[in-house]
Amino acid sequence: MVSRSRHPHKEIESTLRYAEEKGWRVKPAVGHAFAILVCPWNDKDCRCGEFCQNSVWRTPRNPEAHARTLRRIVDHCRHGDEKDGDD
Amino acid sequence: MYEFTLRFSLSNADEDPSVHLDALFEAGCDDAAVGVGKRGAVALAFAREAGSAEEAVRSALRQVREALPHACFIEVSPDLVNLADVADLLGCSRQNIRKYASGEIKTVTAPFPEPILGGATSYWRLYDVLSWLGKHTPWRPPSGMTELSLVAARINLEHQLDQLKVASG
Repeated sequence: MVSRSRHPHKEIESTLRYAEEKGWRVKPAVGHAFAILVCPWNDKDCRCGEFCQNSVWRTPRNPEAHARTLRRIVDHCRHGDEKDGDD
Repeated sequence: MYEFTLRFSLSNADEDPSVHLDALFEAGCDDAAVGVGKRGAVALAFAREAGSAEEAVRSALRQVREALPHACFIEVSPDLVNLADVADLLGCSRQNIRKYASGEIKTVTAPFPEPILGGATSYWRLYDVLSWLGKHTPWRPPSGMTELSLVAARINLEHQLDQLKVASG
């Protein structure tokens, strides 16, 4: 249920919804960050590390690129969907 | 567009890195997703337009240092990678890369580069792998990636040498 405010850029908003479908939380923020994107697992095994929580800028320099970077972070999260493990 | 990640440690190992977000944005890091999920550390995933990989990475380092004068640089990636990472970066299957690495592709006579770190999971310098692929296979890395991997390797090695000099007195 989306009760948060929508991001003004549709590519970023669509990425936030994608992340939410995978269990990530969009935590509203103040200042230049529109929100912090929070990985639900956020555990030591999670290879995201620092990227278990990410800034989502209100006015990024390049919104499409920002959306792509965020999507990649979400896709890389080990817990998102079970891919084959370490090589 | 150059895509790379910078990692820094903060002077206070307990600090919540999100307090620095506005400073980072204002210093020019509005083309990075900032990872603030680990206390005492900050990582920035950049997608930066620049005239060269050198300019992209150096300008990013300058801006982070301006925003966080007391943070310590750890590394820039992509540099040391395993085969799964290489497959990810190139958008090909792990199986494909493994075949090249194991010498199974008989049309290629030049031996695959040596890993920097061997063992159960080996790590290669991305630059070595990308140069080899460019010379000996039809694979072409995305534009600018080889250049970026060389810049990353240089910066990391310079940094490691500095650290070693400091540590060994």
